[in-house]
Amino acid sequence: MTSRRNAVGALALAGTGGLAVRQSLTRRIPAKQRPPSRVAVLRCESYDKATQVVWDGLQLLAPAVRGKTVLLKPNLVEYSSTAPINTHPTVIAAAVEGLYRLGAAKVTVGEGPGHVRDTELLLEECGLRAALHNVGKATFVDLNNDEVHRISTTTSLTALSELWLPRCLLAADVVISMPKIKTHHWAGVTLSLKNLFGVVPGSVYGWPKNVLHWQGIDNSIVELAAAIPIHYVIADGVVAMEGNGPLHGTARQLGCLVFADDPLAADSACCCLMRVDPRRIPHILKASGLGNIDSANWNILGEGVSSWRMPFQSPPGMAFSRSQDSIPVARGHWAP
Amino acid sequence: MATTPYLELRTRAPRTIEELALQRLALRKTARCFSDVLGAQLPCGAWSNRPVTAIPNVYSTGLALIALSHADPTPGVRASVWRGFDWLDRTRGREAHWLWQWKFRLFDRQVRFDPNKFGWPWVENTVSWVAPTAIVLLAYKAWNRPSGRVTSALAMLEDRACSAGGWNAGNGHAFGVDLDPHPDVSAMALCALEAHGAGESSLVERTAQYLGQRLEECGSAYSLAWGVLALKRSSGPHLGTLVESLRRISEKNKATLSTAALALTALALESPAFDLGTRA
Repeated sequence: MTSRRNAVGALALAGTGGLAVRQSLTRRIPAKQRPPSRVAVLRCESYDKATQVVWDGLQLLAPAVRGKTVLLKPNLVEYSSTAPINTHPTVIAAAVEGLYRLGAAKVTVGEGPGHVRDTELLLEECGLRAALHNVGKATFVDLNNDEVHRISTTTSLTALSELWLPRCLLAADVVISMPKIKTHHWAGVTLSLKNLFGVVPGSVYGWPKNVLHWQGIDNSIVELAAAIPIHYVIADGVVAMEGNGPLHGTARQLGCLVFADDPLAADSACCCLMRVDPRRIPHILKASGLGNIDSANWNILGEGVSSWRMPFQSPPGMAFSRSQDSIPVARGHWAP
Repeated sequence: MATTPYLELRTRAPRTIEELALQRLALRKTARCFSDVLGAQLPCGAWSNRPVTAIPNVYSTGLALIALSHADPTPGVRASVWRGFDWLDRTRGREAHWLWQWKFRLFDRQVRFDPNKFGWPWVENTVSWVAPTAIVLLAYKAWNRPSGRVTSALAMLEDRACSAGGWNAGNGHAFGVDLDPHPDVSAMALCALEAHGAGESSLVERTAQYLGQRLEECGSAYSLAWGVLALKRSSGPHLGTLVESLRRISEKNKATLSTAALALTALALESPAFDLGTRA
């Protein structure tokens, strides 16, 4: 009886696995003709310099924020005194300050950590509370516990026909994803698109947002990306993470901040910085119709004076396909 | 009784069932009002943490049942409670199914756990996690409700503990790395184990030690309150410091604390100690 059940189980799993592989290979968002995306990679060797570099990047990017409400979505997961898990508070605070200088009406920082229920503790330990306090006008919203509203999903990549999302995300005029550049043991990399997991409210779906895992991580990322417009990206690659990310990888001094007006271009650029082929990252490939992942369709902002390729160690059990593309980097006036 | 957390708590309008249940528990001595908890129950017997979503939620169902264990035991309350437990009896982590057990045994082995030992998920069709399992175990204890699920859930908690004591969100080891515990989840699991008589194990001792040290410098009332609720049973060496710290932080930040943190603070500062797994 048991062996029969086991045989049926193995067959069912093999069938399900086959279907999943087929789906993962074929489904993607259809591409549209798009204007070129603007991308800037600015050197920033240390967080001491981040305030100025963020301001330089914002001036290059010139985001349309005058009179608008802006939501900054950093990546806050867990606090570690040794591992660079979270978007650095200096970068977040600098973005808040810069956006106000550019005329934003209101800038809110919002995140819904995936595992940690005590967001207050995380804010205090990672230093973001103090950094935002110093800026003055910034408010923080715990997206896990914000008021929620229902939206309909727009792809058939997951079985989710609707999603409940935080009010402050849906009400924002401009959404800026601020990921930490990291490798990820399930998704390959975690950048501006994967960062969207943090907008899904734990008070509805739990900690972690396990519903998304069961819908397939890659498909869930794309479902979220199709539903939630990311207008701009500021990615923290000053100290990035390689190997067993997103929590237990190794710190990697990448020494740059990435700015873009297209999340696909931003994530693709970050992949190239890590020497990872973005077309071999399933969620980026599937979402490719939402933006420009090909560098031929980018306007590189700033002074591109050097090329950057720094092969990142892949997560355990995963072998990165290496990108041969290189990204021009604006050296700026701090370069050695 | 009429100290800071209580006064502030009375002014709050809860937004979730978690907040509502904890608020009603904290204010139970002055106002035994549980009609809004009863009224939020879904037809399936569960509670949705965000009633507008109508998504059944295990964690908030457990908290609602704990809150109702302090209500007058009218026939209406009893009927509501049994419907809640019936739903919990039917709801289990996905790893409980033999098909998914195969998946975890054969293919999905990066996260180390024994799928035979399962508890409760946050929401249906997902796997078991520590926080909802611990809260539901406390609800079963509070109502002395017998269930075959309790043994497996207690075994799950022991199986998924972190190596140095305490609990992370779901397990103690993933992708070749021992995970760090979280104080609030560790406290919930400790409360559950102790309520079910597992208070003498070395895991309980290690967790109590972890909590005492981890929370010494903690500035969050929410985690501190959970820690105090868990450590009050054992009265360990850190308890006095943590209670004072909680009193000071909650007084200073009372206006900005979440309703859940405020209610937990009120419960943690009660004397004699409040026990989540004991019915009124």
